[in-house]
Amino acid sequence: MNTDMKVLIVDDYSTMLRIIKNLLNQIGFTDIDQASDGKQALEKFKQANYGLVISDWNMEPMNGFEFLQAVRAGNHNNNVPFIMATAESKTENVIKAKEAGVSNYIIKPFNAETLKGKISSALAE
Amino acid sequence: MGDYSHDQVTKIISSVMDKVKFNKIKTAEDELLAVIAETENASAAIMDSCEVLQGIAVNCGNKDKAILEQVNKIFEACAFQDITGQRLLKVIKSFKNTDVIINQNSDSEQLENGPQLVGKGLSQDDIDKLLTGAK
Repeated sequence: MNTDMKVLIVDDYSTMLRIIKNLLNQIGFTDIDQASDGKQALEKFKQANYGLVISDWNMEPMNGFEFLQAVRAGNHNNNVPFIMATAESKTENVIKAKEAGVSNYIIKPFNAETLKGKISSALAE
Repeated sequence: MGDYSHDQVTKIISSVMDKVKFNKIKTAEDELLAVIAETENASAAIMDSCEVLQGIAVNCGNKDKAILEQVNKIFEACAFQDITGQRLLKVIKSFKNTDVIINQNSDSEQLENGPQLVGKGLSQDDIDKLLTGAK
């Protein structure tokens, strides 16, 4: 897996940001930015060229689904692999995310192996 | 009591009850927020130690892969703080809508977002099938 890319991770829980960052480091990713909500993430996203985005769903003021929609509707890097990593496991939410163009969807809590598999699959698309 | 009408007495009792309920609910909210803050601090302390152990294990070479694996499991388990925090926030949100709940006119949607109870939401396998199925 090519790990030589910039990754943006988004979560309103500092604990989760740290866990994901640690797991990404183990996989081999070292260039990692982080944001604590969709709005902050969107600002960062517009200013850099990310190769992968991993975002939570439940955040304020902009949630991860709205962030996904904004990324896909934008003109900049709108095909970026986007993984939703969330505790939201309702069918309608997964369908909404899929329709909005999510690349993969991971249910929390997850382990390094699951994350690696989903990243690998998202980057291969 | 002879100096007050029935309506006045009802209003006074209702007012006192509202204050009691509000104070108790506020206290419960504060306690739950404190739980979230304390678990966040504890998780940070656990992860600090994990990072130190990861550094030591890496410097010791391949024979300490087993230690790294176990430290990683501790790291992954710290996700409990996010999950439990979201569950507690769902409860706090329901407290904040006390009027609606007391009137048995609850907007249950507010409790649907966030982590699902065991057996209620989709599993990772279900989600994988759902995502793959329509692609």
